[in-house]
Amino acid sequence: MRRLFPASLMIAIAGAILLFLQSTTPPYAMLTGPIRTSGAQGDTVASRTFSARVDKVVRAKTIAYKRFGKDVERETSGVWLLVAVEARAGSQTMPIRAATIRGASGRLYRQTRRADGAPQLLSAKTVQPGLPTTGLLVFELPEEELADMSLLLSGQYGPQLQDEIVIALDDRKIAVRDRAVLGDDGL
Amino acid sequence: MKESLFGRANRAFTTKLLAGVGGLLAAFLSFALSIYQSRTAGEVPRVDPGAVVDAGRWKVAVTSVSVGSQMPDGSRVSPGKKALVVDLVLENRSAESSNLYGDALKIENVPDAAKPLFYLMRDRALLWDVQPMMPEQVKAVWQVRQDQVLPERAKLAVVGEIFKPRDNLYAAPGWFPTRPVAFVDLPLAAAGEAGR
Amino acid sequence: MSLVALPPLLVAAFAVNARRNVDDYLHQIEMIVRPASDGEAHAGAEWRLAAVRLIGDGRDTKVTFPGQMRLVIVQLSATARQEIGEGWSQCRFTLVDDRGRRWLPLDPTLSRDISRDLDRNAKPVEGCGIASLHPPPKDKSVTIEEKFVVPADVLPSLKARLSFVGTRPGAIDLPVKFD
Repeated sequence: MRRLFPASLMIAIAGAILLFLQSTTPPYAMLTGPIRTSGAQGDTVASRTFSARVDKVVRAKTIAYKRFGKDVERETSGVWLLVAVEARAGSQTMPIRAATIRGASGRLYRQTRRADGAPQLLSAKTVQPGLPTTGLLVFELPEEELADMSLLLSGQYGPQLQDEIVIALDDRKIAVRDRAVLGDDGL
Repeated sequence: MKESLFGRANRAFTTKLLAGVGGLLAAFLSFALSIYQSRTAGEVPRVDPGAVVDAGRWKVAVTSVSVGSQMPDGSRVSPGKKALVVDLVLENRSAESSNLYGDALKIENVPDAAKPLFYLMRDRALLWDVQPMMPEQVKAVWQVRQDQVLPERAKLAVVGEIFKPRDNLYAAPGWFPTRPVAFVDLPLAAAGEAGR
Repeated sequence: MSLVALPPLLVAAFAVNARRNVDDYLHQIEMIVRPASDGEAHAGAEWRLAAVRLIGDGRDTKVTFPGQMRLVIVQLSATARQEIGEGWSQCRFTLVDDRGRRWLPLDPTLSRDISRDLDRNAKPVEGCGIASLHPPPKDKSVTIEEKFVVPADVLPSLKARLSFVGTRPGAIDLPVKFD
């Protein structure tokens, strides 16, 4: 009986330590998730493999562009958000295919495919080291999400142990247009 | 002597009994749980066309179904096939853009229906991602054989999905399919009135 | 007593399981880079720089690209010194500068379109990936070509780096000389 008390105490302490370790281990998805670098709109935010700078943000009700010579107009039940970005590759050629907006509610809105074929889309370009590349990102989201937005950029969607750049967009620096025409010289 | 012997045997016996009871209890609980899980599911509700069905990740409102020879984007159906077109309103209720609506709708009474193609009616083009909280008018198209006999009323099942914040394998959030959430019965419009 | 054996056992188990991952990793990186020298075979062939074209400054064709952007077309000629077979699989043909930055070749479709724009009638020279499917027989040669988009300021220090899954972590460098 005298040996039982310290033994059970040791077991209880060991159990408590293990319980603490088990409940505070980050989930696998976070351990193998993206490597984030944050910054603000207008600053060049640099991660190890690439860097990006948000030049201009425009919100519009309709977008229009020429696709294979034909005029295309796209409407939305929410709002179009157009982001002009300048991207640089650090050490190796890379595409920047993944762009997502985290809205006011925290929901993630991926780049829209409805504007495929528009000129100067960043997802259609490959960024070469030493050659800064400007491109356009097009998003479609409900009007309520247009506050406290963040732009998430990475090479591919679902980056695992790869760089992701998070740029906080400034609500006051968003230009409002009724109809945005996407031309070869950007917005 | 005899008493202490009996005492030891008694203790040994109780220990064995307790161990056995624990094991038997575990076996019985697992058996009862598997029986409970395989019980017949409750009645799946039948909803009217146009009613919004909450299927977890998606909110689906099926409005009509028709048969035609033209896809919603104007292109022609594959030779030897006809298009079974379902009009619906699709809304993404999850926290990120998704294009995993392919399994949300199933046709119950047409055999060999391959996976449907979805078209966004706003653009009259193929549907890619549906953004969260933005309902869209969508057409789902099943291509069936030209000579397939179609029933008078199409029976569609809306399949639900359940959200698990931590799944069993990676402790990552995900949506997992469950059983059908609702059945919708729709009259099949005759060919010719459809495919618009 | 058996508990003491646990740490070395764990390390040994990890090492055994990780061996294949480490092998795969080594076959994907280029660590040991040698300059190509005449007479030395790499992946069963001798390599040399066959032709280099620089487009975008107006001197080769009238095309000019904005700013620092230049299109570099590099052709390498390989003479097989032995039967190559599968030895050229997972070919990696890139341009590197003295800072270690690396330019990957253009997408094959885009590369083919550019070849057609430059010379409508000539048959496009194959890239490394396609050529690796049918390497030349012993003592015969083949030319492979890849196109790269690089900034003008790295042109003096560019090297073409070539490696295959069978040679990695080894690779060879051929200096890219512009006339």
